[in-house]
Amino acid sequence: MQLAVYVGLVHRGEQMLAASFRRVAEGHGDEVDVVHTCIALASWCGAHVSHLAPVIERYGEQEVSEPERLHANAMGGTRSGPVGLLRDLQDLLLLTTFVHSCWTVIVQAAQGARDEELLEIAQNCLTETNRQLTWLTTRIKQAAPQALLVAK
Amino acid sequence: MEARSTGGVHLAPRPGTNLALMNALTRELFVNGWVDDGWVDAHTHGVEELRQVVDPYPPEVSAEICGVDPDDIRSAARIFGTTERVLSTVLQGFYQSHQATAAAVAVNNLHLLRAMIGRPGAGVLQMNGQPTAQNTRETGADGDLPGFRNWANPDHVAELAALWNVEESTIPHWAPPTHAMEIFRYVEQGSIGLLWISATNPAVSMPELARMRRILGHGTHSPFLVVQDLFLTETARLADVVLPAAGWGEKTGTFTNADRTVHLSEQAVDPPGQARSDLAIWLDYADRMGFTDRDGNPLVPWQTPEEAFKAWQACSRGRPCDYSGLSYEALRGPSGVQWPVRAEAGEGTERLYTDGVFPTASAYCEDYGHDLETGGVVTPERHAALRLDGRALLKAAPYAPAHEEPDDVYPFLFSTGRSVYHFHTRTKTRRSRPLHEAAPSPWVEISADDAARSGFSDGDFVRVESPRGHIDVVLRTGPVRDGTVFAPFHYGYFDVNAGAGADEARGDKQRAANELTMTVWDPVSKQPLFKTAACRVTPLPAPGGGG
Repeated sequence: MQLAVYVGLVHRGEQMLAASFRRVAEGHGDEVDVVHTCIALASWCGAHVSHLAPVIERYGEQEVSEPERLHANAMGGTRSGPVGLLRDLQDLLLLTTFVHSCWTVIVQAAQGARDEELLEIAQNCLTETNRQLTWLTTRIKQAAPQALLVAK
Repeated sequence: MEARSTGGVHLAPRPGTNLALMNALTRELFVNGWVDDGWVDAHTHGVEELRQVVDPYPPEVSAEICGVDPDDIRSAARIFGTTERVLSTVLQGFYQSHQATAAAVAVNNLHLLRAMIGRPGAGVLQMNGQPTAQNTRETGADGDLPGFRNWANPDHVAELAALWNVEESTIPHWAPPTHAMEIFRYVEQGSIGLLWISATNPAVSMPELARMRRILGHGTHSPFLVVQDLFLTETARLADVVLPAAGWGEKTGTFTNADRTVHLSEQAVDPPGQARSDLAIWLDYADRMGFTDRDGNPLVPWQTPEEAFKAWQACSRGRPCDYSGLSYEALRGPSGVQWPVRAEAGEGTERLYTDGVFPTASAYCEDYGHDLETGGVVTPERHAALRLDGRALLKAAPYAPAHEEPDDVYPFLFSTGRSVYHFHTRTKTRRSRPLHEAAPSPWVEISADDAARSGFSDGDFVRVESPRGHIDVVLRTGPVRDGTVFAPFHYGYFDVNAGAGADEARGDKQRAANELTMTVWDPVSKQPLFKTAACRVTPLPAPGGGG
């Protein structure tokens, strides 16, 4: 059983995403809706990590040894200005998509394994990750025209 | 106090905790079997999700969060859950507080769970502050599309484009409307260079006034500012161009109340001096700008108020706020007709939702909805998949603490609000002698117990300070929750040392409650929040003359 690989991936993914949401909140202090929403969404990631505890206990988690082809590391810094905000939100969208795909895989495995507890945890986390994607998409669409066409 | 004396309950939750209270009331309906299951099944969607969201809020839990008696929550829920008729009215106490949309929606949920809608004595009035606010929502003057059209619905955009004979791409519909708080942010960043403000006074009425003055007046990116108003407001003093506008008795037009009643208000006197009606000003602007339609004809083909009303009738046809059967002539008959008025010379519609059918069908609805916690927009596909088709959608969210909570440095909660004597920023009411004399100067209110604990007495001069600014005002004791400071938001400084000598450093401007409030808004409605901030109160020597 290789489920431990994805338990490890989603565990590190959620931690990486929480740190990234917090970094964007810190880096764009004047965009107050971004600040408050990113802090709230970081706390969702934290909750997902704590939901994982019984899963890690049951299945363990395994570091993958093969080289990563696409790196999903936490954001190291933020950009500035309207286009910078757009790019940072886009980075968050990509990182969130990575976590979303991890949960999608785990939901599939949970169904195959008929593990009701895992299925409920994974489905709830998948739903909330979807809501994170929805907000990011909304905010990006809102910011894009002004940032690309008008802002200096 | 009146509620208690008539056998009712007055729930006064800590500012910022409305949603915790609403979730507890909703949960009580479920656990006590006060839900009309058959009606809910036929006319709503999402009852199971709602039940799950409110389940963690038994009265004791919410009572702790809200600082109220759990038995009062039970009593209030029993009144709501067991009486034959319930009418709710909702206003700024919800709309301008934390989790505003979620809490306002929760009131709708209570009514839907009990089928308390669409018949005499049962309904919800989600109010506007004034009839013009109702009209701006209907006509799209808040940045939405006219007639409650849905910016994300291509058919609605196409309808408007056909009506106005313009390309669809000239109607901004590719993202949610840019709300006022975002507009001010763009001004702050310099990507909006011209700002035209009509009939409002953000230099006093918006949050965090030091920031607003920086944005409007003397920041690095100050816009070219046009202000259109009846009087020279604090905002107008910052303007590059002031356009004097006519008041309601000086022009003709219609007003619609929160209960959809349309009134015709006819001009009684000429406007003074150079003042002109808003309509005349906008038409002149459109004419000078040379706005044209797809065929090169003037974009705005109408001139008089009655012609504008006819254009609006055509625009509203087939929408929830249908005015097509109305006319100035009809409005000169029995005063006040409620929309929708669909049939020619129709009688109006006294009551909505008598059949339990709601405007939620995907092709018809004003909006596909939002995530109540983040504001993320629901896609057309997801909305269509719900197959609401006239059923009301029950939406809910968990309580979250407000953005700023009291601490050791700022130990009080700060909430702004209204006095009965003044409207908005006193632009008009300051000029009525009886109203001015009834409430001539700003104050803050705290509870008698807090005053005693802090060593204050009625009439003391105090400084009230938040992380963003301060005001120096008189302190009163009154029926305010312990731990809370209330300040009326009406008072600016246009009538204090007006003109020469007015000087921020001398404190002339330190009267407006919004010096203290936070720049923060509801994720769905985008309305700024004025009911949650932290502050401290310190004594000042009595002011020496003037002020």
